[in-house]
Amino acid sequence: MIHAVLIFNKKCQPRLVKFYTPVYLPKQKLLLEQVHELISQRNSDFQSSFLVTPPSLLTTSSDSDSLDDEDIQIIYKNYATLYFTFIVDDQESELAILDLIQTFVEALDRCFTEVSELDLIFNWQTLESVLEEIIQGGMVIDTNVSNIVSSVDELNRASEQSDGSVARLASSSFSSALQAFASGGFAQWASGQ
Amino acid sequence: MSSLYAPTNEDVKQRLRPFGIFFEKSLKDLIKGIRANNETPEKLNHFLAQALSECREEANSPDFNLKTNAVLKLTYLEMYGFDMSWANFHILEVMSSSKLQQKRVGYLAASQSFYKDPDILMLATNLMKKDLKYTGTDDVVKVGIALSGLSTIITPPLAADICDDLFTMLNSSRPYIRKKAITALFKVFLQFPEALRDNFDKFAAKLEDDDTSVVSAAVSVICELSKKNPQPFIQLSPLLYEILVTISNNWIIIRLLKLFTNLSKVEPKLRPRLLPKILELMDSTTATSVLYESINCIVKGHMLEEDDYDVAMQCLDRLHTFCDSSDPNLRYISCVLFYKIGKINTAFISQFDKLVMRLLNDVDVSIRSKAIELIEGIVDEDNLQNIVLVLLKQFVDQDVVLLQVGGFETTREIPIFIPEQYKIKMVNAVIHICSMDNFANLNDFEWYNAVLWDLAILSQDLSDKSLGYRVGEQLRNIMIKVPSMREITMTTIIKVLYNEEINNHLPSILKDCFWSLGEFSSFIENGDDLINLVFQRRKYYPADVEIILIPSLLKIFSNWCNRSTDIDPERVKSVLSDLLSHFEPLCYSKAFEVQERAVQCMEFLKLASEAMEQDTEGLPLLLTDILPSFFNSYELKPISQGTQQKLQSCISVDCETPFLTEEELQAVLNQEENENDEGLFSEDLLLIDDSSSASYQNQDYDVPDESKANSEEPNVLDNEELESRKRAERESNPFYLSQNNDRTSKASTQLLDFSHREADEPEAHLIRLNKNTNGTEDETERKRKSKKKHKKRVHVLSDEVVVENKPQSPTLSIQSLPTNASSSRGKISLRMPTKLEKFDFSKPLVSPSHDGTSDARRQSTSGEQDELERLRRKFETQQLEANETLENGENDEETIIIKKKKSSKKKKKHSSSKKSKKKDSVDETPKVSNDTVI
Repeated sequence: MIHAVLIFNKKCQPRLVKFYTPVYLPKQKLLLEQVHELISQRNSDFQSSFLVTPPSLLTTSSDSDSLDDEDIQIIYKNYATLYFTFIVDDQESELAILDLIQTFVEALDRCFTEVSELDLIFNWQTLESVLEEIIQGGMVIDTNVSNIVSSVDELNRASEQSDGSVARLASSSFSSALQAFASGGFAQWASGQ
Repeated sequence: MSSLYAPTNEDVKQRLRPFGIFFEKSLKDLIKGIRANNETPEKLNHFLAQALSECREEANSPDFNLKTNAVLKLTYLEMYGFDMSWANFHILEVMSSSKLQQKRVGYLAASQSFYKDPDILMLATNLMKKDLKYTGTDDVVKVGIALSGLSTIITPPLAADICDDLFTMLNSSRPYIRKKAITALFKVFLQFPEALRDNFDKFAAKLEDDDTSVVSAAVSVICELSKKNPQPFIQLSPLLYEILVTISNNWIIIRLLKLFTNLSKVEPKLRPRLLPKILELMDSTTATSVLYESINCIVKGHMLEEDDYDVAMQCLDRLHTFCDSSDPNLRYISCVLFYKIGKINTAFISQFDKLVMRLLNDVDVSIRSKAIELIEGIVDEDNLQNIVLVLLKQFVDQDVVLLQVGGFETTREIPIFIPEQYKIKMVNAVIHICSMDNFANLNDFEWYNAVLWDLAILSQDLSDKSLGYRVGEQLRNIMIKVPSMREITMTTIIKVLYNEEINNHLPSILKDCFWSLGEFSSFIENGDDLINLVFQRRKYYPADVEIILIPSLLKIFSNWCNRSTDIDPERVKSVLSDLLSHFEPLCYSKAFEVQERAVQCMEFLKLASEAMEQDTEGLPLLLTDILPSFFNSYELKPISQGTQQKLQSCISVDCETPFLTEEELQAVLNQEENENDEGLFSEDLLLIDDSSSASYQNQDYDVPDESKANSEEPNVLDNEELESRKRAERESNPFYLSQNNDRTSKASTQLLDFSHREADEPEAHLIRLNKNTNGTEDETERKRKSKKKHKKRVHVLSDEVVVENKPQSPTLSIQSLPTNASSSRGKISLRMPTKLEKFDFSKPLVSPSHDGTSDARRQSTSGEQDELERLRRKFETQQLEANETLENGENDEETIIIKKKKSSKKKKKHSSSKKSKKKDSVDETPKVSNDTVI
């Protein structure tokens, strides 16, 4: 399964940190730093997408865990200033994961039309929702770009609608409608009315 | 991309807003703020702290929009390392919102935060069960959100509670829901395997679903489960095989291959059916990934047998093509598989030496690192020196690789950073391939000496200090095992000792060097100088080196005093007093072993120096006869690792019988008065000798058990060729070059015993080797030099057989050396706790145990109400504490709490909380929270 998805830039600023296996926050941070350190030593143009295991993931002190730790692979792809990193175990095919990263980026590209780091910085929630349609609890649920994008669309549409209908009914949400109006989304808001 | 699929602006706008405009705005402000305050860490931390306290305020707000907003921002801020588990209750509230957007935010936050606190999940269970109910069209989305969210947070109790809901969903009319439900079931099965046992057929039926995405999800889940426990899935093999044969979706094929790998590991009967199919698949597929996974399946699924050269070659030929590919990813994974095939039978890969050599120079360090693991399989007498040369050349910080760019003839120089981990791996690899099978591949030990010297120089900059032990151990091993090379090895050891840098940075290498120096000190002419040299360097030596050094000094001293009759007694006296003053502080060493040995040696030397005072004519008997007798009784021979332990287990110790009978004791006591003191002391010191050699034998773990007496055909390389190669190496390697400069600048003009090594023997000749003992050796050396193609025979001693060799795992390993003791702090385990691995599926499907679980569940529901009460109290308390620490009990906080209470009690509560303000707030908190329970 996929244990984690990390997206960060060359300065190690996180853009998305998603763990499907529980890992405590300080250790998440440590892992991110070590992965970044390892990647920054590499020349992504000519070198492979596979990292050697970072120190924090190396065989733990208890022997029973050692077999499982051996299987952990870190696979990354570099797009412009961003690194898309997947931490997976041996049940995932390396080449398939590389394809999956590509699929992920293509799906994002379609969502943003022309995706850039700036888009992803300000649309973390979109990153999350696209990823949610690709990976669920560490398992890949879809690999088809069109399916992924349409699922995201459907989810958003339904959310908007339900929100609109509630907004109409509940006067307490008036403030949110006002806020929406103020931030220039009048058409959106009005269509919900 | 946009030309293929042109979304309207509206579409795009909507996609970017999964949580609606309002939520987006606030989060955007936060992100903008982070960017604006990014200049210094202090400024950023200040901003983040401010943002966090804002979030805390907002999370407590009665306005659900504000609350949701806060939760969303907190979820984002977790990325920066700010824990949000304190807000779990707020998250739960947001999850329960009827608005989908808020629900989405809630489930997202929950999936990130709830694992830290299993208690909150108890409260969330009912909510999730409700959200999983499928009632209307819009509910597809709601159920989808819930499934995504809970997939990461399933605990055993939650799994037991929701598994029925998930199984109901397997019959949903929407493939989207079916696939999500199957995927969520994976985590349920991990935590609650009973669910799988009782519903196995229902679940397996999904393999035959009409929708490919559902089949894919089912195959994925079974694949993951079979890794943990393959047994129950073997019965599905025919069905899975059917899918493999018919399906054309590569993603599913790869998953199936992984799945069959897991099954085939435990069920060898699958092999005859699967193997032909997989080989056929390899021929027919056009996808590289499928081809690769096919090979992977054959190798990892134990389908490749040790003597099956046919299949092995089919796999290796394809991997060979991959290794030549321009895609580094393909090269890397093929390299890994190559290694796995080599592990099954080294003979499979031995013919691929050219390929491995090429991979050792790959542009990608990861690939090189994997190729190093392959060397073992391809190394032989002829290519050993070449391989070592390739590796030694890579000890630079930045390597440059020429790479052809594009299809043109142009090449580009690509600088590559060589990480330290890789260098450590190289040192170990060089030592391993040279010494494996009792030095079977090595025939030029002079060359090996030079290599070890290089390794000593190179290892001092590396962080892994145990490398020193390994290099030292090699020097010691050839010292013992290759008698004809002892002078040359001695020269190398002295060179190491002379190099102050090595003494300083890599003292671990000296342990075995000192032992060798002591044991073979008869080769040294001027032991007094050597002893003085050691004294100058003593500040560098840690205790474990000191332990070996003490007896070694004594041995060197002994051999030096007795090497000729005309030694100056005055000189002996001064060395003796030097030794005494050296041992004196060591008698108070913190290390017990050092203390013990120092005291023993010192007492003997004190006696010797007293004897010197009395006896002005020549040396006393104590030094000429007794001291050498401690060491020279036997010649030490190599024994295999663990022999000493075996011996110890054979010996039965009789602690009962006294050494002397009563009369004998009396006789000895009477005799003692007439006896010379020396006798008694010599007995004591024999004990020291024993312990020193014992410690050596314990260390002797690198010597392989299988012994082959080797009189190898020597390499055709003659000395000149070796020299020219060395020169070439230095020229091509900047690091080497500078090292060389260092050496020549320091080189002294001292007399040299080996004429043909003058050029690169610098300062070692301050210590003169004993010419007499190696005269014959010198002769043969010269002969070899004159006859260019003369074959030299190097005799390598094999291990002595002391006890019958039984295969026994060595008790000492390199890992146990203290230098590798990196703390386990900061280690991350990605292993998930699961009950599946040890779960016994053999129990009957419909069994009392099933009723038992439902009984247990019924019981738990009765207790559940109490549990819920307890939890509510807990969270209320938590909130209160959070509020109070944050807000210092401000007025509006109080009123918010009151709002939550039942209206009938409102008045009362109001007054009580008012009262609480007057009192000590810490005291009052539990009371208030008790009252708030609804």
